[in-house]
Amino acid sequence: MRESLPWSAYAPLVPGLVFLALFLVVPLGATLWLSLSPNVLVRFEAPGLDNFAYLLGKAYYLDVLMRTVRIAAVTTAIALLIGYPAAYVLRDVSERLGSTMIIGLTFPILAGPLVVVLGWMILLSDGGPLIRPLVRLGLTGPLRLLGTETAIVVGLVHFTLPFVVLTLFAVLKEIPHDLLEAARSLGAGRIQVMRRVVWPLSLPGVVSAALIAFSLAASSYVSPHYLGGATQLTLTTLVAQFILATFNSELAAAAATMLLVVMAVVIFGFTKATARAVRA
Amino acid sequence: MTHKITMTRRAMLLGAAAAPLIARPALAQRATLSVSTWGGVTQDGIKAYVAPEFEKRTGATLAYDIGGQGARYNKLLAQRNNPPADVFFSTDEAVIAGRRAGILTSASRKNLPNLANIHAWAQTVTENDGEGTIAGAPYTLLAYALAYNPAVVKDKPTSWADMWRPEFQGKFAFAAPVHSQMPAFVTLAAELAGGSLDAGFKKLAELRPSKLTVFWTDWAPLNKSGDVTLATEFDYYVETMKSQGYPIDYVIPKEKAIGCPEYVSIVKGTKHQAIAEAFLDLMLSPQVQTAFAQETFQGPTNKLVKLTAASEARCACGARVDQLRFFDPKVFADNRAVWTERLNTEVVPHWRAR
Repeated sequence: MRESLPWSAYAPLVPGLVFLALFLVVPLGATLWLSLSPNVLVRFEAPGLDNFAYLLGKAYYLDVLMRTVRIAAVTTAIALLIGYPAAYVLRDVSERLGSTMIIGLTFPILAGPLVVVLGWMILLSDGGPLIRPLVRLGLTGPLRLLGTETAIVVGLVHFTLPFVVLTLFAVLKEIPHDLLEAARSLGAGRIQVMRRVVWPLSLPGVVSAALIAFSLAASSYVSPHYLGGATQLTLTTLVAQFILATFNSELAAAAATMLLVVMAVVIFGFTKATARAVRA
Repeated sequence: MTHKITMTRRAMLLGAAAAPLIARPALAQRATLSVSTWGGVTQDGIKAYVAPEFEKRTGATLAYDIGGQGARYNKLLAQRNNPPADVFFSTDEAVIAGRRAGILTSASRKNLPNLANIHAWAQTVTENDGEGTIAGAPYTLLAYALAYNPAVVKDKPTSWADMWRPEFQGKFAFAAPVHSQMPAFVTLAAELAGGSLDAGFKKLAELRPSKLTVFWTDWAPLNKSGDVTLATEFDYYVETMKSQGYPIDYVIPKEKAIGCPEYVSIVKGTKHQAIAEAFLDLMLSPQVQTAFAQETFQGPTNKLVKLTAASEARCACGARVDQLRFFDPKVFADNRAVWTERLNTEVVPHWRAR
């Protein structure tokens, strides 16, 4: 039976809880309240949900919402596809080489998203080092990548990949080698070992990595702003546009709340959907 | 009896060493006027042609809060109880919006003696003028016109209607919906389309800009690479580009270019009203405006400014003022929110711009 702790044992939690209450709950509450308030475009008696009805009632804003979810989902899928084999290899290399590879992997995190994205802006520009040689060789016609969803996804995959690999690496490293050898000694081939042993045991890591990648991609501002531009708005760049360009903090708050709700729904839904597989 | 004060060499040295320590508190008490302005040409101009004289006249120093107008305006809105700046550089429309939002305040006319020599056409903000006060100081005149690449464009544009010419579709850098001059294009497009606003928005949706811009550096590299051959831009930025060797020139369309008086006004809640007014007056002085016109191509608003023919040819001044159309900034301020929303939802989705 679990022993109940005395109240004093929870004391170390207090600073963290106060910090969270002050700097997370209070601003979130203020944002929520603002999102229920009227503004220059949507007039109603406060508090009301009219701002949300307005945003969800226009095809343009629905597109922004769908684009945000689509970009985050595609980024997550690609990051997992690339990250899983990388983490698996990393698990088996020598400690020294593994450390070097991890330092290399974490470089985009150390450099920050802005540096990463500025590099991609140079690479993906029309006359840039990536497209120009292809056009010159006649392998493609004039190609445009900057200002497209593809460019945003490229930037986001680059940024989220280290988080995915490191999360998967931590889980894969915990799988005992004995288990794999036992499976092999019982006649399982490499694919079978992977499918029947490694994959099921690494699923909790896959779910965590997917949630991290999705959250980072959906809430990212730098890639959509610099690689997507004015016609590929996502919820984050839409919030910035409402705040900085049209000074409509009420609609900005509503768009920010929508982003929060979308993330909460996806995270809750994904966790619930994968819970059975993870338990099994 | 007299006391003879003698000082040893050591005491003198100690005194000299201590002097900066004594002087420092006095220096710390010097007022600092925080200037909210655009970076680049404008900030450089203030540092070079305004700061030395300002410091001489007031004993105060200048500090800078740099950024796009929207971001700076938003800072004033968010920190209205403790404003991060004392004077604010903006368009005339933003002066009206800022007064309505309660973040800008008036200047006393009697403390702006240079105001007597400012052209009437520059004083586009009148709704907040009180008895003996003025809403802001119109320190320069810019022209928003059509820039083109003369190396590529053989048949140079002559009209705003040329923005729809097929050869420029996909090669055109256009003001973003959030650009300060966008309401002028809504009006111009409506006029070109026959008059109604709805027709104007439809006409704008027929454009195919390849790049949406708020600042000249957004599209300047595309001009160099040949990806942009036509752009809407301020005259002084095009002149800056010309000086830097870009293949660019501009024309005043036959319907007239857009005349843009730029203002500096005082932030409500400033603790430095008097020196803020001194700064405004300096921005209106012939000396400062002459330097701005000669070095940064920003047109003067003071009648006493005398420019050389070469300088006059490169800024919005003299006879060129008649080629500019002055829109009512109050109409822009009244309609911006709704027009931007219509542009974003009805027009931008038709563009394949970035």
